[in-house]
Amino acid sequence: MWQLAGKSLNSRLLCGTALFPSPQIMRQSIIASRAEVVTVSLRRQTPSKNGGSSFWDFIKSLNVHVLPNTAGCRTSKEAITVAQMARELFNTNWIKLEVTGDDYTLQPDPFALVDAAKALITDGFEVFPYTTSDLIVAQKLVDVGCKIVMPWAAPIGSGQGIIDPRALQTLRTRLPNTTLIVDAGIGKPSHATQVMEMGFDAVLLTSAIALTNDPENMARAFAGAIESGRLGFESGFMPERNMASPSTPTIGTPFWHKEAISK
Amino acid sequence: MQLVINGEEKTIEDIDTIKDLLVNLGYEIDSVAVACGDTFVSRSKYAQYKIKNGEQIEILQPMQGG
Repeated sequence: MWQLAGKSLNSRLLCGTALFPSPQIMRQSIIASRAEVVTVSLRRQTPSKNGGSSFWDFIKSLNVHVLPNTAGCRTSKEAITVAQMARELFNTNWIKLEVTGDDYTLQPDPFALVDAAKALITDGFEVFPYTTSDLIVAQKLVDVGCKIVMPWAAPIGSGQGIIDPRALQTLRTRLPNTTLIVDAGIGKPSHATQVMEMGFDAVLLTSAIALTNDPENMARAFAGAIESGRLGFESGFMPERNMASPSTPTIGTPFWHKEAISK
Repeated sequence: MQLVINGEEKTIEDIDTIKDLLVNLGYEIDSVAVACGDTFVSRSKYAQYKIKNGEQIEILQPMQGG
């Protein structure tokens, strides 16, 4: 059990709802992932489709916490407005704050991000800012009141895994009291295990589950990978050594040789 | 009245408020969130907020997200 923005959760996997082949596969995958938080968004839709309300009813039936995002916003003002719209529509003060600064990498605009985070926290939001692994940007987000920071492992949807492990490890070391959730770039369960072994608090995934041949089983694989990584981190790792050290007792070794093998 | 609704220019007559507009367009009021210009307008103000000619209005609904 751990705490995320005042909620007690068992799972350290946060799951997106986009890109799944069908609503039914999305539902099965979210259940298999054991995620208790799912991300959603707001979009323009024609009233005749009635897609918004049916999707929302579908999500509510999963009995999970929702984390709306501001995906696609390019200025702090746009992000603030979309966050306020999300708060009313989804009845939550949680917001996954995204302010895109570059269309090719979907890299966040750190200046607009910090500005929007500051305004939203003042307005009563629990802000989950999506950012890069830059330490100073993360520190500025914490300075304006963010209790949670969500650095990327790699650009959104790239599935590249951790492109800068040293930067992520630095974030964890320098921000020990901040909830850190790796939000983007994870492609394989082993990537998720790796960040959890570093001591990150959770992982947010969408493409790495939804874009696979079998999303339901991949969701199950990620649930296990994240749990394994966390258990490993909490257990403490053995110290690395430069030399081999036998694990089987050497006392009573048969055919004992006094001289070392050296070729 | 000329309006820009979700990025599209539209001519809509016989409306005065956001509530009128949503009913005219066929939206369920409880399933949308609205911004006029770039400012959020809460649901509690739909019946009072007077729409101005030429105003840009965003009407958003829940959608899948990552």
